[in-house]
Amino acid sequence: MQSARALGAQQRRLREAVRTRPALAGSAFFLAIAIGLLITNGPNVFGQTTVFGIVSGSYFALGAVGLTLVYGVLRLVNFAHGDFLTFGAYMAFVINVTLGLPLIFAIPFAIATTAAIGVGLELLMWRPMRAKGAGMLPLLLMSIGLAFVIRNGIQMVAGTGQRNLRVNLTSTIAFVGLRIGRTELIVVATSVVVLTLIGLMLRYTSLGKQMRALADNFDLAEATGIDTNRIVLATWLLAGGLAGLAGVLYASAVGTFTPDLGFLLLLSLFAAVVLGGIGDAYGALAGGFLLGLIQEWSTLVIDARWKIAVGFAALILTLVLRPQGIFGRARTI
Amino acid sequence: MADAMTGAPMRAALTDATDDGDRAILSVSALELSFGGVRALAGTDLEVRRGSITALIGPNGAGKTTLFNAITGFYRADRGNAFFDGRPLLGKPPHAIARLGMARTFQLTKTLAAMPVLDNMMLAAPDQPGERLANLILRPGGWRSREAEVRERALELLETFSLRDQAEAYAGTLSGGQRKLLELARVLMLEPRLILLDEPMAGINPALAQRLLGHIHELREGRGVTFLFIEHDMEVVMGQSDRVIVMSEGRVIAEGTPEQVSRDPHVIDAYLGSSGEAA
Repeated sequence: MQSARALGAQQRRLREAVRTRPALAGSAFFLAIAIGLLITNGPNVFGQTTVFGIVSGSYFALGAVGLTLVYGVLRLVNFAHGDFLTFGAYMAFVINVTLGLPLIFAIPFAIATTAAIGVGLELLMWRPMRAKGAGMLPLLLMSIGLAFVIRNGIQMVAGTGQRNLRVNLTSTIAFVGLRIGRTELIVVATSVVVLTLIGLMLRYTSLGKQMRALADNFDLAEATGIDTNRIVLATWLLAGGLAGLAGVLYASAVGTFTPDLGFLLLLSLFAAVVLGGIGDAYGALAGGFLLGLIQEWSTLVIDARWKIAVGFAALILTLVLRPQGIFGRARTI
Repeated sequence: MADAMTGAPMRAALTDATDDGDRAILSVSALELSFGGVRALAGTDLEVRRGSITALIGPNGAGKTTLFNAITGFYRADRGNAFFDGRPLLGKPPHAIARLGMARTFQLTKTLAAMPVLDNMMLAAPDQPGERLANLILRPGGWRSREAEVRERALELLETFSLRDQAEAYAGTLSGGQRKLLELARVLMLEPRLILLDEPMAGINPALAQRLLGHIHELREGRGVTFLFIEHDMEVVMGQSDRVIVMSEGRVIAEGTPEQVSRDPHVIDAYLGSSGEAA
């Protein structure tokens, strides 16, 4: 009786904690799982899966930040975003394999061309549609259509077969008993540096503040004297560039890719976006790494082929507890 | 200082009355805008005198907010003309119009809820060199001093509107009244010569209404700012404005001093007769 009441009080406190300090409660929960897995699997196996989680988290995060920025600023759910990643990977392929140049040249080319696609589509499709006052549904359908056009376009030119970049997938670096591929290390390092720069840009530069202002309230930002068309272009430039980079990094880390690369990743990117709070760039960043870790850690408990389902189960659980995402603020009207 | 500034509207009033280009800060002619068969603006003509506090009234659906949206670039007018200080407005995007010195507020108070109050203010400052990445890298010093200047002005305005203590708070955490004040403070960061207010007194308590009206008169007398405001409260309209424009069914049906308008048979017919009995 006594203990039941104590348990009830504890439950209430726990619920209260989830409500008032979501980030703290979430971290504590997450940490508890990590420690549990660490104890049951030993430091070596756990460390190795954590490394894998961070690797996939880094391209999830890069892709998700662009996706969430576009949603935040334009309220456009861009189903073609995954195919931007595919496009980036194939552009890198052109430089890296077709022309035989090192990856270091392929990466900037992939970023530039994918950013150009983002900007080009804004000028050709999205801006005219906005000027016509198109609603959410037509834009959504257009983005789905665009996803097919890009994917089929790539299939037409490059074929449907598997491709791989010329990257070293065998050499590994040992680090306190953990093995991480040299390429994987580059992937993680690149994305951490790029994401840090993006985070700083959004937080401190005028461009970043204007982007956040547009995401917050488009009409007000316009009435405040912010050149919205310019900021929207910058958003597409950034989202496209990040998607291109994410595509190359994915192709490098995994080794092989097909024209379905982005399509298969898209749902995970959406999961990362929603997990962190829709439209919140920092949330998407954290959501990407979180999703990567959850998916990889799940392989310690159940078969690896279910890891994507586990990622989505975690997403649903999070949303039931916190509909606005882990980092999203409940808005006052 | 204050005397020199109050001179501006006086001088404007003394110039030749036929010189409309100088007397009117805003002139709209034959403006038309339809939404799927509904003529929201059916050839609207109006002028707002420089230095005046002009009320825009009319029954619901008269086209008042549509007019605001059409002249501030949020809607695209089908036909007609609109000039602010002699410059054409139609076809310009909202941000360009705000930068010309014609600022607006919205019927439902809007703030950048997820950003600090100070950022809400600073984003409205004109010409920030920090916007350009090249300047950020090439002239970090110049950017800093400009930013410091903008910050100081923002804090000064927040002080005036008793929001200084909330400068670092997220705008979403402000009370409704504070958000109203922030809205006006932010608009002033644009250094506007004409401010369009869409129902500024709606849903606020009488004390705050008095404060807002005090600020409006101060800005007009002190800085020569012109106001055009949409209002339903007849007491505010008759007591605070020096010009009144009456719209009905997308057209201006009367214009003049509050006394003239309240005696106008068209107005009584279209507006006061039906809903303004109490006033």
